[in-house]
Amino acid sequence: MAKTALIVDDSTTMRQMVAFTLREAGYQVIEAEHGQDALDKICAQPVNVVITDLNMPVMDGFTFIKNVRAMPNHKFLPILMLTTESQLSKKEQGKAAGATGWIVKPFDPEKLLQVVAKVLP
Amino acid sequence: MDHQVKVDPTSDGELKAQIAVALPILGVMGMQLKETASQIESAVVEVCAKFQSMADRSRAGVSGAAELLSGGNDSQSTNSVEALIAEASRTIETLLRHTQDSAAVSNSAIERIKRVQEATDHISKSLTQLDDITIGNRLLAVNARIQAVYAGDKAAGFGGVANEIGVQAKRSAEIVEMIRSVSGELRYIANSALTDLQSMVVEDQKAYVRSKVEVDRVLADFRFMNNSTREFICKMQSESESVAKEISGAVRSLQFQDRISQRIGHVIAELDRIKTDLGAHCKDMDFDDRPILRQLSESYTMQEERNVLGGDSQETSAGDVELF
Repeated sequence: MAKTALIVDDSTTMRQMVAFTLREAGYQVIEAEHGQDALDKICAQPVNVVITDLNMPVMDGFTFIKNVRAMPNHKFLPILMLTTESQLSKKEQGKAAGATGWIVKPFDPEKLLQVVAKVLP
Repeated sequence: MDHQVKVDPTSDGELKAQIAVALPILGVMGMQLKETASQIESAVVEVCAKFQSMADRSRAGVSGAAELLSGGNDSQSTNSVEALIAEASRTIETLLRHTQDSAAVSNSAIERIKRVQEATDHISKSLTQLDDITIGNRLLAVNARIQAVYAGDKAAGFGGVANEIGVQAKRSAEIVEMIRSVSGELRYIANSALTDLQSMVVEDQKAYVRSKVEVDRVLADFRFMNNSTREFICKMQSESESVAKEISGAVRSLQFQDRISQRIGHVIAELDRIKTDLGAHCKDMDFDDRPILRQLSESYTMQEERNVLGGDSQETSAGDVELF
C-alpha cells in the first residue's frame, strides 16, 4: 500500500512541485496551506511522513511541529522541514521543536525522495 | 518623471513635500510587486500542472503499450503476444503432424493395395495352371470318346463319361475365364487406386513442405515484429524515464518562483514599513496625489498595471487581435 505524505506550504507552486515529485515516486499526497490546516488533516487521516515549510501564515512550521509532537500517536512521525532558511540557529530551533530533518529550498527531487525514503519507518 | 525629488530640500517643509510626493508612489510600487508575484505564481502553477499532465500521459502511454504486449496486467497471461505466437505455433505443428499421419496412413494403404496386386498375380498364375488342366481334360475327353467308338457298344457307357468330362472341361474353362475377367478388373482398380494414392501422397508431401516453410516464415516474421515492438516499447520506457528526469530538473528550476515570491514579499514589507514611517511625518500635509497617479498611469503600458491604480481605467480593445 502506498505511503501517504502530508505537504504543508503556503506556496501553491511549492506544494505542487513536492506533490509532483512524490506522486511520481508512488506516494499518496495530502496538501495543507499552513500549520493549522495541516493539524486538522493529520487528525483526520493517517499520514506516514510530513514535509513542512517554516514561514507560513496562521501557524508557522515550528509551532506546527510542536503541536504534532504533543500528540501521543505522532511522537515518532517523520517531519521534514523544507524551507529557504539555512541559518544554523533556525535549524537548531527546528531540531528542538522536533523536526526529523531539514531540507533547503530549492530542493533536488531525487535527494528529496532519498531523504523521505530514509526517514520512513 | 516630474514628481521625482530633484533638489536638495532647503527646509523641513520642502522635505515633507518631497516625501508626500513619494508616498503614493511607494504604495503603487508595493501593489505592482504583489501583482507581479501573483502573475508569476499563476504561470508557474500552470506550467507545473502541464508537466504533471505530460508525465501522466507519458506513463499511461507506456503502461498501456506494455499491457497490450503482455496481454493484461498478469505477466503470465495467456493473452500475451508471445503466448499467442506459441499457441499458433503449436496449432500449426499439430496440423502438420496430422498431415504427416495422413501420409503414413496413405502409405500403409499403398502397401496393402500392393499386396492385393500380388494376390491377383498369384490368381493369374493359378488360372494359367487351371487352363492347362482344362486343356488336358478336354484332350482326355476327346481321346476317351475315340476309344469308346473303337470299342463299340460295350463302351457306350465309357463314351457317356467321356462326353461328361468334355462338358466339365468346357465349364471349367468358362469359370476360369470369368475369374480372369474379375481378377483383371480387380487389378485395374488396384492399379488406379495405387496410382491415385501415390500421387496424393507426393502432393501431400509437397504441400506439407510448402506449408511448413510458409508457416515458419510467418511465425518468424511475427516473432520479429513482436520483438521489434517490444524493443520499441522498451525504448519508449527508457525515453519516458529520461523525460521524467528532465521534468524533475524543470521542477527544480521552477522553484525560482518561491524564492522570488519570498524576496518580493520582503521588499513589499519594507516598502510598507517605509511608507508608514514616512507617512507619520507628513500626517499634517494636505497633498493631492491624483496628478501623480495619473502620470504614473500614463507611463504604464499594460492595462493590468493601470488596474493596480484602480478606478481610472481606460477603454481597451475587445480582444488580443484587431484588424483595422
